[in-house]
Amino acid sequence: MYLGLRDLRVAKGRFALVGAVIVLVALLSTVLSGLANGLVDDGISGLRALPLTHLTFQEGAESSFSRSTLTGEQLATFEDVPGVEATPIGVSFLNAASDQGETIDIALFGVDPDGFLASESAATEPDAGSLEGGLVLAEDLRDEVAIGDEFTVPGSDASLPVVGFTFAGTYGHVPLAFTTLDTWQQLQYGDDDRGRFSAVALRVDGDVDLAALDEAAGTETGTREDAYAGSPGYSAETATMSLIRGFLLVISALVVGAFFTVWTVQRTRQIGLLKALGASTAYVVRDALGQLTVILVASVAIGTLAGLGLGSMVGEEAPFSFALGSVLASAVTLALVGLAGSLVALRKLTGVDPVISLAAEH
Amino acid sequence: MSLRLDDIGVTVPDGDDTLTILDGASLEVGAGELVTITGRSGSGKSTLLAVAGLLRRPDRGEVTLAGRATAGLGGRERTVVRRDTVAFVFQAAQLFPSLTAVQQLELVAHIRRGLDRDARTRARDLLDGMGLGHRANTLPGHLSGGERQRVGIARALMGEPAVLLADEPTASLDPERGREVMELLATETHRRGLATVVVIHDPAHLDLADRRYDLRDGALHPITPSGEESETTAASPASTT
Repeated sequence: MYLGLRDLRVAKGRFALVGAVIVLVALLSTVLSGLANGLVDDGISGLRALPLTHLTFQEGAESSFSRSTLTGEQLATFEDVPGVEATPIGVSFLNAASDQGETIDIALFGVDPDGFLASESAATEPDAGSLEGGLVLAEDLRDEVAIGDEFTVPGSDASLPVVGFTFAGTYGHVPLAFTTLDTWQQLQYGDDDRGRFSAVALRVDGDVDLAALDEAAGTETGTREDAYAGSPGYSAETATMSLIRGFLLVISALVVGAFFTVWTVQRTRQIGLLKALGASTAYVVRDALGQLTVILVASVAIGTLAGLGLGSMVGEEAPFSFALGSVLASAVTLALVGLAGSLVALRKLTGVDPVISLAAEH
Repeated sequence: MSLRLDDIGVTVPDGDDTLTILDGASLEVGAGELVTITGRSGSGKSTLLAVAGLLRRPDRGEVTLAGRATAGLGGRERTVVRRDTVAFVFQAAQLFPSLTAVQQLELVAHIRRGLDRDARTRARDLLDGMGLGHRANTLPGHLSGGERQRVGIARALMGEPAVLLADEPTASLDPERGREVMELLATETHRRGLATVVVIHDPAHLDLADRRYDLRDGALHPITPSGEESETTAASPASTT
């Protein structure tokens, strides 16, 4: 890359424009990656933190708690199966007002006080009261709410005291809250609950034929990750983000490809001269692609770092979280896609005839 | 014989017809000889150089470089033979705008995968030898036309070629600088034992040639020392010595 590097050094301005475009694309891509990650986190971080492996929904509910209603008969199919722990959960989104004038949106999970979810996720504070008729809230709410605050839910006369805090986590962009299944059913169905709940949380250990159990119970069981898709807005958010990032990659490939094509045409004489001096086609390609790689790597690095800097300044205002792996992956993808875009110009590069270095006589 | 052209023929398509550019051009140039080729515009001088330097395949005939016949060689082998045997001096020097004078020479070594300390020293020495030592770190944009062409010649010598092909090396220079460049080519040809072919428009410098040819009707016609053209079309060094 003897010539390519020195070209870069002497003719910086020539590469400034394409470099700036790649920097901006990388910056945008990094910020989007953080935003996408933050949004996903905001949607399902509570679900991810629950100590379960699978969730069973009503057939056709597509992993959505609000579309799924199950009863004890269906739960019974999953109980007493070797290698399976099953506990019912009821899930609904509520707006609750406290006696202190505080209003909170919560995703309320009603859990069986004897099941594994209650014992591992919804521990109450000593002397604060029992989970029955009380609320255990996600850590996210600790700043706004104190133990002992009483919450009422519109449409219900019940008053629910805060009896503890558990891990930080959200579902469908609002903080998690736990209560007992009985309390949840009372809030959801009044006096006519008929033993209904939303889904069954499973902890599966070993090789269990879940399909057969689903067949028997008329349910559909998926992994916890499958259930993310049922979180409100999850599919739309990830699809939007993927679409934008996909477009960014296409734009980047086109910009780099167009630049490299124009650049190659501009330096046709120089390439012909290199070949006339004895350079093989491989040498010329190495030189040109090496030069482009330097531009791409430097621009992507600058853009990514700027994006990380920008993201860390946004702070609490937006759901923003960086996963180093996905930021790196998107940066590497961006550079590779740019390089792929340049391949369209390679034929122009290899096709240059060194004979053009000699004065044309015609 | 360092360079030998046998019965070279080149035609190019011209609409529905074909245009004959070279038709039976033959030439032999030995080590330490400077041969000039003159001819009208469009007579095929540059094409002849391109064929001799393996930049272009002739439609018929054989090019032999440093004793190696090239007609049967594939593209890659031709590139290697060209790299190892031939160097060009171009009209208007054709330097790389982003490389300093000494880097123009170092690039030649880099292409041959031999850019080591020796090569760097040799590049400096070559420039010194042309009186350009003080301009070694100057970009071509800041060199005069004559300096540029001398750098171009130094670059050609960097690859230690057996055959030096110069394409109107004085065309972009004033007569005085042009003379200097031709004298330099003659000196280096004799000192290094190169087989040099100079395509030239300007008759003023023909006295520096060991032998002279005129390219006419696609073939080479020797010009005798008296300045008259001989009748033979086959050119051989024996006819002038």
